[in-house]
Amino acid sequence: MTLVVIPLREDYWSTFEITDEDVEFLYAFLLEREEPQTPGQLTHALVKDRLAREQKAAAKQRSAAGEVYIPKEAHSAGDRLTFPALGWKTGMVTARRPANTFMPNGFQVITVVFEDGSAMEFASECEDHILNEPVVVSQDDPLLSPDAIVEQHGVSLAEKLVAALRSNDDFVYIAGRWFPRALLVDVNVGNLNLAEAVLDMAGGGPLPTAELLPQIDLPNPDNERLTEFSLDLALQEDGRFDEVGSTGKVLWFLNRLEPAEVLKPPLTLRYQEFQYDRSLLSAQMLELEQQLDDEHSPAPEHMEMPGDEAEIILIYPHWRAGTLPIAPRLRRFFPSAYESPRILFSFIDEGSGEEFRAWVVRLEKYVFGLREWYLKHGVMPGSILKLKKTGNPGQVAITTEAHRSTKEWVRTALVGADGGVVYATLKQQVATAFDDRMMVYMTSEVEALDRAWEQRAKAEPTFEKAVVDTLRELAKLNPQAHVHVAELYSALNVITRCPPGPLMARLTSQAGFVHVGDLHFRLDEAGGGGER
Amino acid sequence: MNDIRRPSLVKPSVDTHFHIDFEWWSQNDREWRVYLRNLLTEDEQTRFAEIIADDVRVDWVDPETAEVKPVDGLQHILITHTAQQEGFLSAHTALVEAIFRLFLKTGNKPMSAQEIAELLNRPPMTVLKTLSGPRVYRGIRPILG
Repeated sequence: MTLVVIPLREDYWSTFEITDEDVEFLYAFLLEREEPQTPGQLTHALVKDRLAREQKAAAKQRSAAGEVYIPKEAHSAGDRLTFPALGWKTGMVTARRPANTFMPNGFQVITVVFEDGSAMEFASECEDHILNEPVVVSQDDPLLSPDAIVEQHGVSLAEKLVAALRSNDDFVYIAGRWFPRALLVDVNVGNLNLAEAVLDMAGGGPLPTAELLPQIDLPNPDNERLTEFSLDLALQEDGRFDEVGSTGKVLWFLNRLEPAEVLKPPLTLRYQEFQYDRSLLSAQMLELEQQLDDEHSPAPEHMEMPGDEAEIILIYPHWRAGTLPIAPRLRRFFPSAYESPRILFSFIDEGSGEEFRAWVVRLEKYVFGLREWYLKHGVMPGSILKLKKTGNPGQVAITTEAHRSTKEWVRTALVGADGGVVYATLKQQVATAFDDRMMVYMTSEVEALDRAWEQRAKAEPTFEKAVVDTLRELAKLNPQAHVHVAELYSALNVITRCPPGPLMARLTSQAGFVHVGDLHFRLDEAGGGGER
Repeated sequence: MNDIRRPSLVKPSVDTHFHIDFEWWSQNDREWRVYLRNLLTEDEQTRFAEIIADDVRVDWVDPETAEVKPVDGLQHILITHTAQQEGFLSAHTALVEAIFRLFLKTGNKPMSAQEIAELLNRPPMTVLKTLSGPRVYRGIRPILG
């Protein structure tokens, strides 16, 4: 049989709080290990320790309570018994009589009076009962198996553990691992200045800690990992250095030598969030929003995630900045990190095999480093790009299908000297596969558009006017003057950064926009043309 | 406003637990012991004559806690001996009788219509309709509350 030896409450792990005793254990554990540990490793160790402590406490409590009741044994008046099956209640045997039974092997009946005054009868000298088998700890009980506990509650336990360690100066954290401060090797300003010089010589980086160590005059380490961790921490706490490695990999880069577009989002990617009512969006709109995969759209609750390949249709802001969005569907393609806001990795051009450096700007949700590649391959807003995983988390393959015909009638943006944009359908040399609705062929006058973006950044936002002007311009290209939301989204982003949600909410809620079916809209000029 | 008296009926669902309510049965059917006694074979009636007589109580040991409780001798013989014999519950037994015998075989452990249906390989709604009608068969009643 199996019995729960440790009387843990059902909600023991979900209501778990870190105590001073837990922190003391973690400190001792790290001192003993002499190696930085991940929150996952610490959580597992803590769960094991807690179980051991609870088991010890329960055993102590039971040994003080009395003999464990086993039905096959003989009991007599005056015996003090503990009943595992009744939550380890304790009572005294007060009487004994033969059982009234037709069973061939009779038994005795004992009366037990519990500490609360209640009395019950139990079988004694009863050979055939499940409680006669020894009490064992259930290995399958999810309340008692460290692996099962970590699997079920690991995330919340690790969060509580990390919160407790963060508030304690005795622990330090870097690159996803914790360590006791007391074991750190002293790294002084001189060592850090040397590290800066080494990185400077390497063009800013990236260099792993192991390559920096021999060049910065730190004394020969007894424990190399300890010294490495100490240097990592010192570099992390110094603003001159950025850790740019993906998850589990520590790479250092000089902050001042990082591209400006990585330190601060390029102008075309800056989005001033609009408040809007998402309940205005129809199911069809929500589906389109998901397809458009804008990094500022909220992540849907349920989403079909791509396998090892994904396609993305580029929009102007990313084309101009030489970036890609880290939209929910694409997030898994790019390396991530525990803490680093910027991660260095490389793209590999699937066609040529050429490899080039790129940056994940994690918090602002974009990848930088593609401007030259876009120009080289004739990529335009509306081009379809393909991303592929390579098996190496620090490398992502990128490609675009070449377009078959050389000249194509496409929507072309004509930019005036004042930065104003009008559209015409012109025959252009198109180099890549593209989406008909989202294609915006850019001629070479983007500098005027840059100036217009700069001016708009300083002025009051004029979102409604931008929507109306863009819809009016696009309507001219179509005899019915109908414009699809995807066309409008792509063209609107030529002049201002806006995810599809706020645009669709305005098209739905404001007078002057008429839905003519299948996500096509037209301006009702007589009704105010959408302007308020 | 006048008080409206509502009947205290609760509609059972396929998840409502049922059992043989021997106490209710004994108070509502004078023939209940005769029916139970007839389930015993002639040999058993002779062998356990003293125990199955009216008002004889025997000591029953709870299979999980080993607590001893006094139970009716006839019920005890039926549950622990007769119902455990091969052929007590066959595939051809009528539904009401099969449900009753199933409860005896399983120690009168409370079961839902869903669970009964699975063990007897019958549709759960048929079991539920049988057990939740106005007539109480063989003391089988829902456990409410």
